[in-house]
Amino acid sequence: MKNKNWLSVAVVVGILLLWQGVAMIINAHYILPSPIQIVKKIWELKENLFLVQMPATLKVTVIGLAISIVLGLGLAVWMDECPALEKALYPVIVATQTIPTTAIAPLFVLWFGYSIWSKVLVTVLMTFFPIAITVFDGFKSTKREMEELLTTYGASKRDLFWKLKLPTALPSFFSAIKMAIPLSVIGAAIAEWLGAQEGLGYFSKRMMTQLDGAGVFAPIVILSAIAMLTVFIITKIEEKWITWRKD
Amino acid sequence: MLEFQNVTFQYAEDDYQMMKDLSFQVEEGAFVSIIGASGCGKSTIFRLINGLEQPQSGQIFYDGKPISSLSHFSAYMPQKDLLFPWRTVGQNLALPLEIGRVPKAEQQQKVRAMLKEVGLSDYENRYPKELSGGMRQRAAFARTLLTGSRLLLLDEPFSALDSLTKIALQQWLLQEWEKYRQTVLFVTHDVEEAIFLSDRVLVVYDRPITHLEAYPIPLPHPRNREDLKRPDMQELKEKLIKELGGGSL
Ligand SMILES: Nc1ncnc2c1ncn2[C@@H]1O[C@H](COP(=O)(O)OP(=O)(O)OP(=O)(O)O)[C@@H](O)[C@H]1O
Ligand SMILES: [Mg+2]
Repeated sequence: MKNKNWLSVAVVVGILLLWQGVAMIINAHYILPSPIQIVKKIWELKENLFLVQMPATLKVTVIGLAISIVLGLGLAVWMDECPALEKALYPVIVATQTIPTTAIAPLFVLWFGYSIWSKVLVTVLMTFFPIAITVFDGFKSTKREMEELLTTYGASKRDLFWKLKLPTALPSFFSAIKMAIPLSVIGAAIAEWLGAQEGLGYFSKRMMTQLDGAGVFAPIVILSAIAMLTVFIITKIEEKWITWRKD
Repeated sequence: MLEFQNVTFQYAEDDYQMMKDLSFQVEEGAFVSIIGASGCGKSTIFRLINGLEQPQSGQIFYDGKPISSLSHFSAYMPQKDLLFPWRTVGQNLALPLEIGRVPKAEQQQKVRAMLKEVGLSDYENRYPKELSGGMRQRAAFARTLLTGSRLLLLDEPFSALDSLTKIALQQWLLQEWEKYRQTVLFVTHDVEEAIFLSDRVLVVYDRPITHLEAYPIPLPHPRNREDLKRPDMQELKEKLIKELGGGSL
């Protein structure tokens, strides 16, 4: 385990060095800023980036993710309870996954203006369905024999849900969250890129118009860092909680 | 007493009948084994008793009442141990009690007593993956007992175990039964196991099942593995193996 960690650190360092080298050779910061230039830029703009833009984006992300989790779980439970609904909705949901969000996001700006809700909607759209489907598949992976065993104990539908289906789907729930976090960050950033007055995505776009390469990259680096850190934390929580999984 | 009366059953997915006009009885407090070839319908008999399947015709009675009017009269231990991996051993044992809405304090007390009974007291807070096959089987058996039912339906509980563990658990099961005298229906396809454990062996020969051939086992209790060496038991064993199609290819 320790060894693997070192290996991945080495790979990251290698890539950064390569990037730095190539950037220095090209020597055109508006096309490819070097990692050092980006870090410098983040430091220069730290107050604006961390105190103004990042909170705005986080707000969208958190609200969007929360809505997606509630709706996604709700839909998963509902489809599991009601096979007719599953038949009707499941294919539709899978199909909606092929819609390029970037293409319809401007529509939301049209509808909701520059308010936070146009951005939240994009985030929800990107994360809701993956959550619903992953958790639903988790419910479906419930072992029939276990269900039957509980039934012979006299279990009600409620018992079956709380004592069997929910614990069975718990790992799927974690997978869903881990998948949804980066998506929600991307969703928020895209929405801000398309139309907003604050946020990391908006900031990145503004820097673009000024041909400030490092300024374009700086917010993106922060976005990635947020996503990675959050996924890391969730993974740790998962490891603490789901100790029973077979090795 | 458990009684099948002219039970006919067929799985909806199948195009053949599983059993037809099947009648048999199991007396209160008896240890009865059912043996038969793989896929002959032994587990199906259990599914009919515990209500997971309904017969197309005929009826099943327990203590003289049709089972459709009863609940919780049988305790089913399925072929796989089916311990819930996310629950500790103690929490697994508590499952039938939780579902029976037994108060928490009483649950705990019953679980502790049962863990002691099956020799797993030290494993209350361990997860099933930390147990050996034999321990898992004992835990599953303990969970079955905690349903509180007097009719135990044990579906090949030992078939996945190595032979030494299996022998140890057979002896252990007999001791438990000699102490509590529940009615036990025990499915196995191990002829020797059936003879060693039961008062009576029921053999499935035909498909659809129309009758169960009964062989009484006149061995005294408490039992001893040495008893299996008696000439009449050896003879019975050979006879059953031959009739079940063993020994020929
Ligand atoms: N839920 C089910 N739906 C449809 N067919 C089933 C079902 N369960 C079992 N069967 C079929 O019924 C037959 C008998 O199955 P059953 O499980 O009762 O056999 P068994 O005697 O317990 O076999 P084994 O010794 O392998 O456990 C099998 O051919 C099986 O394919
Ligand atoms: Mg079976």
